[in-house]
Parts: sequence; structure tokens; C-alpha cells
Amino acid sequence: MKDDIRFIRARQRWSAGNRRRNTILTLIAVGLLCGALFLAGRFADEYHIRILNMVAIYITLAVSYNLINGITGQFSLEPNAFVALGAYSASLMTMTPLEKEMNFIIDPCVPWLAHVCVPFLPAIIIGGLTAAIFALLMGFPVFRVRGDYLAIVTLGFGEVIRVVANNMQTVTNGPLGLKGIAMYTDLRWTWGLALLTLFVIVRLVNSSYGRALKAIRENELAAESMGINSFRHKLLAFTLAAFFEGMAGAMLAHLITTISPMLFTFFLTFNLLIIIVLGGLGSLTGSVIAAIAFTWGSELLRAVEEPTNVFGWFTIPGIPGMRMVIFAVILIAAMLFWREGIMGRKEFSWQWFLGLFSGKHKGAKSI
Amino acid sequence: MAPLLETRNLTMRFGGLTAVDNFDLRLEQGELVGLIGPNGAGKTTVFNMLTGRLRPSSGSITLQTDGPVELVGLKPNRINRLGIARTFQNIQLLPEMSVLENVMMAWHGRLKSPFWAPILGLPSYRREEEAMIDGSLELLDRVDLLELADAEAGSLAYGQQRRLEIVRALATRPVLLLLDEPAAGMNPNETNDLMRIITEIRKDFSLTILVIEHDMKFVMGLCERLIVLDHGVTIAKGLPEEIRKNEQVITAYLGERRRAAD
Amino acid sequence: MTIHLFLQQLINGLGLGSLYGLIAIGYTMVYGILRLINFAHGDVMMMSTYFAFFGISVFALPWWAAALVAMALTALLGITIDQGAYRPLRRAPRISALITAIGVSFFLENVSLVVFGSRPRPFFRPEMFRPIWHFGGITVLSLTVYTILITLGLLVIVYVVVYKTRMGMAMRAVSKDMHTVPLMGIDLNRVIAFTFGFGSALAAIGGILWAMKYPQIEPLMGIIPGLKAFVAAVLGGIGNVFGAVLGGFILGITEIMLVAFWPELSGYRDAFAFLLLILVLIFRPTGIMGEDLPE
Repeated sequence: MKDDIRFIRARQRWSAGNRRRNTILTLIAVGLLCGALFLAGRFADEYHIRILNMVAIYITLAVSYNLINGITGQFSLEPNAFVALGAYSASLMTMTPLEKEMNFIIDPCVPWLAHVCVPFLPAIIIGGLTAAIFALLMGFPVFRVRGDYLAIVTLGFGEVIRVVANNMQTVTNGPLGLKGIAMYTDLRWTWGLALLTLFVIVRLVNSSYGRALKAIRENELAAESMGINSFRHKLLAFTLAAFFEGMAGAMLAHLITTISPMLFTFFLTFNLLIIIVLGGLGSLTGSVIAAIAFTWGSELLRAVEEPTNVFGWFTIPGIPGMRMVIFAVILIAAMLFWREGIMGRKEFSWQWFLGLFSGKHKGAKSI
Repeated sequence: MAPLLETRNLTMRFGGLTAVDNFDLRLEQGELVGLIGPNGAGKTTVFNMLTGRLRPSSGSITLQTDGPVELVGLKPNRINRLGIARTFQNIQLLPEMSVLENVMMAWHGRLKSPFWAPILGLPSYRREEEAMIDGSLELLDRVDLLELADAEAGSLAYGQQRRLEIVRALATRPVLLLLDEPAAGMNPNETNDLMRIITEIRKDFSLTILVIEHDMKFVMGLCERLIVLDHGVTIAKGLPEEIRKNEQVITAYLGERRRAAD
Repeated sequence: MTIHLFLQQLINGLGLGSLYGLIAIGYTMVYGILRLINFAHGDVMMMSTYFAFFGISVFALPWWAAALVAMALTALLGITIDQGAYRPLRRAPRISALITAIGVSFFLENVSLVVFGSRPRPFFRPEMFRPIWHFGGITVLSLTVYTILITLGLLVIVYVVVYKTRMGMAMRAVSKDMHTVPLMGIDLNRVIAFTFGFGSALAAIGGILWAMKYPQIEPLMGIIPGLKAFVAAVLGGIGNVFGAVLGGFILGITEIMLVAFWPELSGYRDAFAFLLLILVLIFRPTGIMGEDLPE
């Protein structure tokens, strides 16, 4: 049976030929990216480096957000909450006792936190773990009974985080927030995290676990009847997404060096929702492309909030808040008229990329 | 020896309606039993209770594995892992995934590697994945779908989709297979193929099979024993020849035909 | 705590709970029929207060006329949102409609911020709602008493509509099984439109009473009441209109009592509803009056 020629052919076709070739190509691409980033770090100005950092953070966030929303198909509104958790917990870890003393002027910091001070890397991981623990605590009751409510639970949690951050004076310093966080984050950190996130999530999605997650998205009834424990898999996707979002929050805090409860509003989640929708719900490639496009695009869109001079004749006054309206319109319009987004559910593959040059245009691999 | 599967007083009520009333079933190891009855008789409801999709209002379901296991209250995935697999009346494939992936997905419930194994690229996971591919292709070959392994499941012809669903159920390594109208919408040739396939897999995998079907040629030709449901009540049990002559069964089906004629 | 203080807090809680309940009805009906969490519902409520505000301040309508006009406009807004944003997605995966609902919510909030400005505006409190009444040792704003009475009165109307009219029967049928209804000769789309209109009008009443209570309005005022009303709907049993009002009462009373008993927790008041939601999901996901529906 195993010698059956058709058998072997089908098997070869499936493993998409050359794994080693793909690995080498990927390594080359990552090398080129690192080179480009190195040059950017050397020669680009502060403004552009900041944007590059934000692009990487948005890629991290969008790819993890897509894992739960797009790949697993569970509508969630969690990123701002988990980014806040990661940002606060990591910052409280890296701040020196002296800095804490200077920050907590209304009430002193609780003793168990006041004397803690750890390096950046463990602080990032603590940021990620904190978010992951809360994800487990929320995911457990929600996925056990009504997955529908995930969105409202996560939305509510975002509000709760703000309420708690405002009120727990001795832990979060309340509305004053935390100032003077060391600026540890640079291009190496942000892009390192983005690449790590991509590596982990892409490999997970391409494995048997990824097939199970997509099966749950496509047809939960069938998936469960085939022995897939949908509860555990949803929880896995949600917790993993939270872990990376928490780490991205830690990066963000050590990039902007000042955080307060007002910083992590729903607007952040909304941006990410636009990114994963425009990129294509369920396409990690799409999320990366859209994260890059969105970060640049939203910088350009700042123009609508500032006065614009038309041909030197007259000036259109900028409308503050207009950007948000435009974002809302983009999201609704995308859902109504362009639900596929840039990539649909297709992913980048070297097979497809090389096909572009050899003329054998076979189309990107679906799902 | 205790039967492979036994239900006692299995009852399902929806609001005031009793969809299945005191259903008693004994399936011996290796049997091929047909569950028939007019539309709306409660046949699929029985399947849904057996597979944990619906929780019965009352009654018990006992499966013999290493010892007796009570199935009422267990989740569908757990019941599948205990050895009951099913197909659906309205096909429930993952249409955008490939045929091969549809079968491989059914392997996942048995996967031993934790989620970080594929991320780290551990050899243990690779071996499992290889076994999954080999096993799935082998299964696909049995139902003549090997050539279509890379096709999108949704692009398959209707009869092929039915076969794929059966193979996917087989990939979960069941001891008991529940087939919900496997021949529905098939032409006579396809039905003959299907009957051959079912006979083969039953022998090769030493399966016990419970099948819901309307096609009388299929039922009479394949099943060793029949159970007839009408309005949730078991109105007859016995050998196909006996059922064919059973007055009550004829009336139930005639009523159906008369309703259909109206 | 004296009995007076308790009764005082109870009536305050009932007043607050009435408002949650009125908003929750719209949530629960839409979820019951479409299995859609209409995130925009709280913002629809916010819009109603601006309709009423401009009715009074710009068009110089008497307050009750402004309220009626606002109700009608809000109902229209609710129907428009459904027809424009949700209806094209009825056959799409459920996540699409949910994303659109979030988009609509964000749209309403931010358009209001641009058009009305973020500064809160004072809202008109009519003469009849101003007096402060004393019952024994209890002091109550007449608005609170009227709010409770209005809610109970509306509950009778809701009962009649849901249980005694053809439209209400259709609504209940759709929430049981959407697919059989077209077979019964009922225009599904009209039922859904009616649900959105009816729910939005009730939210408008809730919103206007809310605005009179505080008495000011601002574009983001719908978010927190919206979230809490949803919790109330889940607590009462999603899909059940009376459950929604009961859930509203329970949530309102507990919130008020919590702050009365433990004033140091008052900062966390908005977090309480969330905790309650999690507890309901753990211990009784079908809510108080919800029934287990087969899938």
C-alpha cells in the first residue's frame, strides 16, 4: 500500500516540497530585515525610529489579536486591557525603589512592590504572564458557557482595568500614573518581540493545533464531534494572545516612559480591530501588512485634525476627533463591502513568492 | 457479555414536545443496525443524545469500553474520545480546508504533543504529524479520495463529501460509528459504492454501526437488525424481513406518504 | 444601618435599576432574536438625550413633546442602524455583525464628540421632577419615584406588546427558531425592524430620565450604562424582557447598597457589574429567568 505511487505523490504535494529551502529563504529575509533595521537605527531620525518601533509593536499586537479573533473566530475586545496590564506590571518591576518613592507622592507604594527592581527582560516576561493569568481567569468562565459573551466580558474588563488603575493608589499610583520609566525599548527589542510573536504563532497555526483552532472557527459542532476539546483550545488561543499582548504592553511602557490609566483606552483595541479586519480576519500575513500600512496611514491622517492650507487661498480648520470618525467609517465599510480584506484567509508562502518570478502563478495557499 | 452500547429509558423533551420517548437500545459488538422512521420521528435526536450534543431529559446511556461508562452529561469531544464517531445528516465538513486537512483534524483529539512541541519543532511532534499524514492518506485511499487530498473539501461532489465525512469519522478510531443518512442525495451507483465501502470498513476496523437511512434498498440490503421510530416512540424492532411486514410500520410510513402527497 | 437608611438606599437603587432595566430590554430583545450583542445600544441611548436636548433648547418644545420626538427619532435611528449596518450581514459569519456593531458604537460616540463637543451640557429637569419628597425619614427626589412608576407602567406595555400582539408573538417565535418563522408567513425583516425600534424607544426613555437625573449629558455617557444594562440582561436571563428589568433592579440596588455599606469601595463601583457578570457566567449562565434552550 505505502509504495503506491499516487500515495507518495499526494504526500509530497502536501508537504509543499522543500522545507529546507523555505527555512533558508526565511532566514535570509530575517537577515535583510535586521540589516535594514540596523541602518535605520544608525541613520534615521527620532521621528521615524519611533514609527518603526510602533510598527513592530502593532505587528505583535495585531498578530496575537488575530489568533483569537481571526484564526479561532472568537470575538474579543481585550488588547487594551492586556496591554495596560503588561505595561503596568513590567514598569513596576523595572522602576528603582528611588523612582517609586518619587512617583508615589500621594500614598507610598505598597511594601512588597516598593523594593522590587528587576532587569528589563524578566520584567517583560512578568508583563506577559500577568496578562496571561488574567486571560485564564476570564476565559475559564466565558468559554465554559457562552463564548458569545467574550466580547462584552473583555470590553468590561478594559473598563475595570481603568477603574482599578485609577483607584489602587498604592499599587498603580492612581490617576497620576507612572513617570520616568527607563527607556529600555529600542528597535532590537520591539522587532525582536515582533519576530518572536510571528515565529510562535505562525508555527502554532501551521500545526495540528492550528487546524483544530480553524476547525472550531469554521464548525464548532463538527470539531467537537471529532474529539477536539473546543474549550481548551479557545482558552489556549486567548491566553497565548494575552501573553504576547502583555509583553507588547511592557515594550510600549518602556518606549514612551510615562503611563497613566487614560492611555489604554478602547481606541487601541479599535485600531487593532481595523488592522486585522483590513488585513483579513484569519490571515497573519494580512495582519502584518495592515499593521505597517495602518501605522503609517494613521500618522498621515493626523492632517485632518490640523488646519490645512489649500493653495494659499484659504485654510480649512482641522477638526479634532475627526480621525476617530474616519476609523469608525473604515471599519464599518470594510465589514459591509470588503470583508475579505487584503489577504482574506490566505498566507504568504515562499512557494507562491517564487511562483511570481517563474511565471507559474498558482496563488497563495488558502487558510 | 454486556452489550457495547445500551440505553435505558432515553427521553428527550423540548418544552411540551416529547421528541424521543423511552428509547431502549442494545447494540452488540460488531452489529450493523438500522434506525428508521418517518421524518421528524426523532432519529437524529437519538444520535445527538448519544454523541453528547443534546443532554437527555432522562434516561441513561452506557458504553462498554474497558468497563461500563455512563455517557449522559459528557461533552461531545469526550464521547468521541471514548469511541463513538458520527456523520451528519447535513454534511458538516470544513469546506475551506483541504480534504487531507479535514481528515487530519480528526487526529488532533489523540495528539500527545503539547502545544509548544510544534512551536519548538520537537521530533516527537514531527513523528506524530508524519503518522497523521500517512494514516490520513491511507484512509483516503480506502474511499477513493486519495487523488483529491489537496482539493478544497467544499469543492467535492456531494457523494464524495459524504465519503469524506465517513473517513473523517473513522480517523478518530471509533468502536461505534453512527451514520446519519449516509446515502441521502446519492444516485444508485453512488449508493452501491457506499454500501460496499461500509461493508469493507466495518470488517477491517471491526466496527459496530448504527445507521439512519431512508433508502429502503440500502437499509434492507445492509442492516442486520432494524429499529423503527415514529413520533419519538419505538414502534418496532426486528429483522428487516419482519419489519417489512409489520403493520404498524407500514401505517407510519403510509401516513408519511399521505402527508407528503397533500 | 437604620431601617430608614435602608429604605432610602432601596428606593435609590430601584430608581437606578429602572434605568438599567429600560436600556437592558433593547439588548435582550435584539440578542434573543439575532444572537447579536448590539454594542451600539448604549450610544443609541446617548443620542436620544441629545435629540431631547436640542428639542428643548433649539426648537423650544415643551419637555414632554421633546421627549416624544426624541423617542421617535431614536427608534428611527435604531431601525436605520439595523437596516444599514446589520441587515447586509445576516448571512455572514456572526463575528462580522459583532465587529460592525462595535464600529457603529465607536462611530456614534466620535461623531457626537465632533458635532456636540466633549464638554458636558446641562440637561433640563422639568418642574414636576424637581421637588424633594419626604416619607417619614426618607428623602426622595420626585424624579426617582416617577422613574420607578414610569418603568413599571412601561413594563405593562411591554407585556402587552410581547404577549398580546401578533408582532410580539412573531418576536418570540423568531427568538425560539429564526428559520421556521418565514414559513409561518411572518416577514422576518419587519419583526427585526420592530424589535430595534421598540428597544431603542425604551432606551430613549431610559436615557432621558438618566439625563434628568444627573442632569447633564455628554457623548460618552452611554458606554458605562450600556455595559451595565447588558450585565442586567444576562443576569435576568438573556432574551427575557422581564428578566432584563429584574436584572436591572438587582444590579441597581446592589450597586447602591454596596457603596452605602462600604463607602471606601465607591471608586470601584463601575467594576462591580463586571464582577457580577463573571459570577453569573460561572454559577448561572442562563440567568435568573432564562430557560435552557436546545442548540
